[in-house]
Amino acid sequence: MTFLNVVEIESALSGLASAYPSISHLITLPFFTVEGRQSHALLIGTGNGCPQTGVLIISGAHAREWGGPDICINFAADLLEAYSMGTGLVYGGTSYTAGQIKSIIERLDLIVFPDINPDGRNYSQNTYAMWRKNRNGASSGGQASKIGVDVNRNYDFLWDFNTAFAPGAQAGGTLASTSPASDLFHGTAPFSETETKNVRWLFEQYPQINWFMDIHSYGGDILHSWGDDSNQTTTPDKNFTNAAWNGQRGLPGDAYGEYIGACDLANVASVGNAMGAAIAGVRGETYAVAQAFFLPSWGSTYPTSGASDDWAFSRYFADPSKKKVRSYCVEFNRVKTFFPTWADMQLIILDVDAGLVRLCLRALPALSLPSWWCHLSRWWNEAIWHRVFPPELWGPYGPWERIRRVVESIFIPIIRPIIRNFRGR
Amino acid sequence: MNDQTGSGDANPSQRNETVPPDLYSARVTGSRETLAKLMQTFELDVGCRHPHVEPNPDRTATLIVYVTDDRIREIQAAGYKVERGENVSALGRERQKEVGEGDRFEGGRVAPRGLGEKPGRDRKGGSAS
Repeated sequence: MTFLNVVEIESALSGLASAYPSISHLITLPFFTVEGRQSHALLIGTGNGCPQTGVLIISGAHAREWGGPDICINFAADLLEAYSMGTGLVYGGTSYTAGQIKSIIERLDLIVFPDINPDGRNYSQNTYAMWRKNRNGASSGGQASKIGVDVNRNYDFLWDFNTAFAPGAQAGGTLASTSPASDLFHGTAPFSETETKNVRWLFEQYPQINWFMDIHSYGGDILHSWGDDSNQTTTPDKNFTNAAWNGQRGLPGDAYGEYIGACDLANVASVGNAMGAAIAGVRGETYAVAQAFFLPSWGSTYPTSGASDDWAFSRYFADPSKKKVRSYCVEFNRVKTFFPTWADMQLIILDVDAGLVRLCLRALPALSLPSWWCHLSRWWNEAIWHRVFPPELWGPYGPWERIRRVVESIFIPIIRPIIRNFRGR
Repeated sequence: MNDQTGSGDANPSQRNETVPPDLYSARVTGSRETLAKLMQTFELDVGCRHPHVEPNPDRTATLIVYVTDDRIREIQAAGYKVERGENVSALGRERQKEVGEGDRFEGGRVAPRGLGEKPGRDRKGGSAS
């Protein structure tokens, strides 16, 4: 047993798609890496019913964090095999019934993109193990020390950190960098890199995606939105789209906080806690659930710009015609090393996969709706709703959001237990 | 499926490429303010997304950074309390021996199996093999 190499990751995806053709198929990503690799993802689901909910799980952005793709391949293989055999799944002390696995396969579109940065992984596994970035040398000027872009600083969320963040936040050293020599080099533009373009392409091709997980290492953390500043639930005007707050983001305890609806915040925290409980149930590993802006172990803050989870969540706020995507970043492995032994990694795989199954269960829509309802709903949104209530006027920071927040705050606490009871979990 | 070998498999020396120097896990201890100043002064590799800080009983904390030998000396010369730990590059080279060789899934002809147990089906699944 060994860590998967980049060839094996692709072969594993192909093998799963071949072995389970009725419930999975291979997605070919359109953008080739600078070393000429073409990546693939796996779409898992029966394709029946109402594809109102999609879950996208990615990993491998940082080359040296080897175990992420292995977690993803094992996760996909477990779900497909268990569904096909009509069994449940057991990860140590955390178990799922056959009925729960059936619900995931039949009621979700689950997309697993295990290795978004194969060039970097290949370099890390064969040459320089501590390599973090991709292998794009466009900004290197021919110097080996300046090769690569930090894929997880290249997404279009406050990418221009020099403008968006306070100078004090930039001094912390975790935000991003404009220097190609830095491990945090954010590239030449948002989505300048093929790796991030491929992730964006998945969101565009599968608009039903409304849950997102990016797997990293290490720490033993489950991080949720936002990552640029403290969350606040009262002032929608304070948000990443508002240029008036440029130069003031990234510091705790000041006037700026990133707006998140109270229900959204409760929702992402609740699902994060559910994942944490599932992980802890396996063998007792306790993952900290925290807002990405805060350092779980010491109460400090560490803003980031251009990260995948923030970008995924921000899409709806930047363009309300898109689905709201609840987003997470898990930092697997509580032992402080990038390189656990494969024996230890197998235990970590069980931990994290138990959490991922729980994420999928929580992502399930409350009701199983027929496909015609989905088509009708989509038509209603596009042809009627967004014309009568244009998102630019009635979007997440507008008056409708304010009304909705009030209504939600009254009714959600009443409705949520009823829905939970209805779901039987 | 596209050939995943890519063009980056050649030995770095054959590509006239310099492999970066080894990195060490170094532990820097100090107050919150001291560590914040360290982060501001030196551009440091602190891990994936956020720094890993271990609180100490005396209200100081220890920050883990990944740095070269030269950088450790620079940090020490600046007056910080630094303890050099494991050569993580060497550890990575050791772990490279635990990376698969070839293609155990034979280009997709063999499907992986997950590690999770499928009750009633088997006691334990095979690991991606």
